[in-house]
Parts: sequence; structure tokens; C-alpha cells
Amino acid sequence: MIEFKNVSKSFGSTMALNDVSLVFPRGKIIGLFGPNGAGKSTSIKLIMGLNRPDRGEISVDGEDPQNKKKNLAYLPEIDHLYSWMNIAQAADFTRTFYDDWDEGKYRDLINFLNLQEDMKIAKISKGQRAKAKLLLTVCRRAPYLLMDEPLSGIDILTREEIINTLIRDYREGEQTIIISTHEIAEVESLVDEVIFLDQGKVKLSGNAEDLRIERNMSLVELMKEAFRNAN
Amino acid sequence: MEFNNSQPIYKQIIDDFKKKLIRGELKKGDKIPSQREYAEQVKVNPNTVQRAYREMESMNMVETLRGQGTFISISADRLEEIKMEMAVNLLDYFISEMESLGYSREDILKILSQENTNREGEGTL
Amino acid sequence: MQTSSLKKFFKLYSKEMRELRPEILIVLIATLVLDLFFYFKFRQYPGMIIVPSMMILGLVVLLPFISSFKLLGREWNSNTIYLLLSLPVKGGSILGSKLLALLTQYFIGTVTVTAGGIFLTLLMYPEPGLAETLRQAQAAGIDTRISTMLSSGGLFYLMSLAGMAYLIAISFFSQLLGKMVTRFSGVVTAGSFLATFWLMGKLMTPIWHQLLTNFSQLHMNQCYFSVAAFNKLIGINTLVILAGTLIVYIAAVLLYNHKIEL
Repeated sequence: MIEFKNVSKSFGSTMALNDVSLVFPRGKIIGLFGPNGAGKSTSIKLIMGLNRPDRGEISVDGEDPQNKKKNLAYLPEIDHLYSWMNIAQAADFTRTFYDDWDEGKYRDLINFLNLQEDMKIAKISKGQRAKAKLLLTVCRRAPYLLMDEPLSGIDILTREEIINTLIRDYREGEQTIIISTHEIAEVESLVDEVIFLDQGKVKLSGNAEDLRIERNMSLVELMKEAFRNAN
Repeated sequence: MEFNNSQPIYKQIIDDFKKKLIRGELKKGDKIPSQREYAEQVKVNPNTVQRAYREMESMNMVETLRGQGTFISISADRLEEIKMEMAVNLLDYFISEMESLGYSREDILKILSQENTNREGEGTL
Repeated sequence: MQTSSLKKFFKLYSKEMRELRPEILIVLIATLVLDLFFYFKFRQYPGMIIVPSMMILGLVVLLPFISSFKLLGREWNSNTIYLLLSLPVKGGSILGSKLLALLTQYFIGTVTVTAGGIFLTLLMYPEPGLAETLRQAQAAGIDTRISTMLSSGGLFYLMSLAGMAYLIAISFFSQLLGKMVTRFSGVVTAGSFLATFWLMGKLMTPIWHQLLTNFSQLHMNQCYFSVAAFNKLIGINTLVILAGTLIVYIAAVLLYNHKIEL
């Protein structure tokens, strides 16, 4: 379980998160939704220990995120791989640091995603790079998978491949996946729990199916309504 | 399978199985896909599929045999009930929509029997 | 557990070595080209022999220092800092592997230049030969025992290595300080580099003086030459520089572990 207790974080004069308290339950696929600048990336970076809260506390299974990096797999929005490496070298680099690396899954996924080990990160297309990042992140049997905008700027076919990969390799109950995206429609049927963020605050959160029963609305419509009420 | 995202997805999965049962595409004793296979097929969160399967088990539509898989286990009586339930649901929707357009019950019945004769006429031609 | 963290460190180290490959190749090629050039073009002026080696030696000393900015700064420029910071390793391994790689670069460079220089000398001065040169030196009153030469040379080299490490540590520390501000990162880096250098100098000079007067009878006005005294001086210098390096390096690791964010 990941918990935020009264977390605030600002960058210069911009308040990225404003007194946010949140619980990311274990074993669920959680959608972190909101417009650009809502605080989604910051939330994920805080969980990953790449940012530190100005106020409040964040815990991963009751511990400081800085000490839980081996249990967290992170897919940032930007290209964070060494561009001079090819996929095999990047995999070899990653493999060294994590005991949860699953070699079988790596071999299987590299085929499934139509990638080749000798592809150089600097020379492949944007979609292929997104798939390579995904490959290196989900090859680990990490209890927590944090994905920041995994679909942004990626063509429809690749998006489908990414979502299929996630469903295919998801381990119910053991794995917690947090996906931040502003493209809710793409992940409607993928998420269990949703958290809507806006201007550093939680607008709405809950179980996706319960919200649909309660409000008779899709998540996209819910988000639109939440923000209409806000303005 | 396409989902209507404003309705709970697990309910739509159950409805899909109900329709297949009513049409006879699935019969008692048939094996249905495992939760994981089904989730991959329809591209839905495995937890949602799990919820749908659990619900179907409690409705006595399916049973899961340890190590063998999930099978249709519905009784003839229960199937009749589901058929009726589905028909009533559709009619409910139809009647409330017609009423919202201002038709009275009598009008609705008249239109229905008119449609019926028309279609029989077409059928004989 | 121990072997595994060693493996992680080695993986980081080999990544850094791969990043430094172009610079190392430049030094190797420059040495070869300059030495060959002097061998063929300046045969008639054997006194010029020191020139090529000195030219490249400057490059060899300068390059690891310049590379230290590239090696750390590039992680930010290419966004790979996201990867580094999410790895389950602490700043000690990250900065340690970079430091070790830069010292390796220095080592390879200095060894190449020295070997090139010696080879060139042997080629250009076939006469009077090594044994004869040694005999002449001995006659002039210089201690030419192998053990003495090795210990003095080795100590001197260690001191230069410590100096390199010292510069790199300050470079890391000031770069990390620069990364903590969102604007004027370069100015902050440059400023803190000079400030740290000055401050550490202030801190280390009195200690150096103290050690010098306590442990050796060497005084600045005495101008006799003794190998033992020379070794002592170099040894003390090395120790003081190493202590300074350690302080700045630990400060850099603490910054990385506790203050750096994205």
C-alpha cells in the first residue's frame, strides 16, 4: 500500500500538490487522471523518491520511498534510457540491479512487442522506444509498477499493444499498477480505482465500477463533470 | 466485445454470458475461458473479470472446478428465469422510452399489434 | 549481498568507462601521432624530445577533469538521471563509479604518455644506453637503486592521482550544488567550484604546515637533496590531499542522497 499524508510539494511558485492525502491500495490497477499540470507526474515522482515532499509524508508499505526503490518499477514520460545502448545492453544494465528481473518474460515480451535486441535506442522510432521502455519496466516482477503517461504521443496500434501487454502480464492481487494519463478513454476498462487530480488537489476518487453504478457515467464523462463543477 | 463505459463493465460481461446462454451459444457443461484468457480477449482489467465470474458463480450460472476450469452449470429453471428477466428488462426500457415520447399504453399496444400484422404480411409475401 | 552490490558497482563502472571511451581513444591516438611526428620530423633536434610528452601530458591531466563535468552533467542533459535516481543504489556507488572511471582514464593516459616518452627516448638516444646513464647518475651522487626510484616515483604518482581525485570530487560537489537550483545552474556550479577550492585550501594549508614541521625536519631554506626527505614531503602532501578529497566526496554523496531531486 502506498500512502500520502497531507503531502504538499511546490516547484518555485507553482504548487504541484496541495495538502493531498491518498491511499493507493495494493493489488489494483489505479488510474491517476487529470489535465496537464494537475500533479500526476509529481505524485509518481514522489512515490519513486525522485522528489521529496515539502510537507507531509509518503510511505510505501510503511517505509520511506527512498528505501523501497527495489520494489518500484518506474516508466517515466521522458526517454530515460542511455541512447548509445541497444535493447540487449539496456536490459543487461537493468537486470543487474533487480532481483525481480524475469528473463523468461523478457524473452517472451521482446517477441510480442516486435522488438529486436540489437536495436539501438537512439535509432528507433518513438513508438519502438516507448515499447522498449515498457519492456524494461514490466520485465520485472516488481510489486509496484508506476507509469507516467505511457500512451502519450504514441500511435493507436502501439497503444493497443501496450495495453494488451499490461493485461497479459498483470498478476492479480500481487501487483499494483499506477497509470497516470490524461487520455482516460484509452484505459477505461483497464483501471480498478481512479483518482482525479486537479491543480494539486484530489477532485474525486473511488472504485471505477462503483462510480459507474452510482453516477451512470463513464470515467471520461465523470472527469468532464468534475471539472465543469470546478470551474 | 465493445463496452458501454457508462455501465459497470462486470455487469456487461455477465449480460454477455446471459445472452449467449439464451441464444444457446453456451450450454450446460460447456467450458468457458479462464479469467485470464477472457481478460486478454476482451481487454479488460483481470480484477473486473474476476468480479464478474464471482458474481456468476453466486448466481449459479457457472461453477469453477479446481484444476479444470470454469463451466456453465445453469439449471433449466434458472435459464428460464434469466430469459424472462432479460425480456422484462428490454420491455421496461421500450415502454419507458415510448411513454417519455407521450404514447399511452393503449397506443403502444395498438402499434405493437399493427407492427405484428405488417411483419406477418411481409413474411407471407 | 556483498557480491551483488559489487556487481552493481562494476556495472555502473563499465557504463562510465563506455562513456569515456572517445576521450581515452583521443589520448591514445594523439600520443601515437605526436610521438611519430617528432620521431620523423625532429630527429635532428634530440633535445626536443620532452616537448611531445609534455604537450600530451597536459591533455591527459586536463581531460579527466573536463570529462568529470560531462560524465555527471550529461545524466541531466539526456534525462538518464531519471534512470539513475530510480536505481536501488545510493550516491556512493553512483559517484564512486564515476570517480573510479575518471581515475582510470587518468591512469591509462599517463601510462600511455610515459611509455611513449620512454620508448621515444630509447629510439632517439641509442647511446650511451640505459646502464651507462644510470652509472653517470650514480657518479653524480643520485641514489639510483631500483627500490628508491620506484618508491619515489610511485609516491609522486600517487600524489598526482590524489590531486586528480581531489579536483574531480570538487567538480562533482559543485555540479550537484548547481543542480539544486532551477536557474543559473552553470553560474552556481562555477561559483561553488571556486569557493570550495578556496575554502578547502584554507582548511588544508595549516594542517599541511603542521604535519610538515612535526614529522620532517625539512625546512624551506635547506637546499640539500635527500630521497628520504623528498618521499616524506610527497607522502604528507598525498595524505593531506586524500583527506581533503574524502571530505568533499562525502559532502557530494550526501548531497546526492538527500538533496538531489528532479
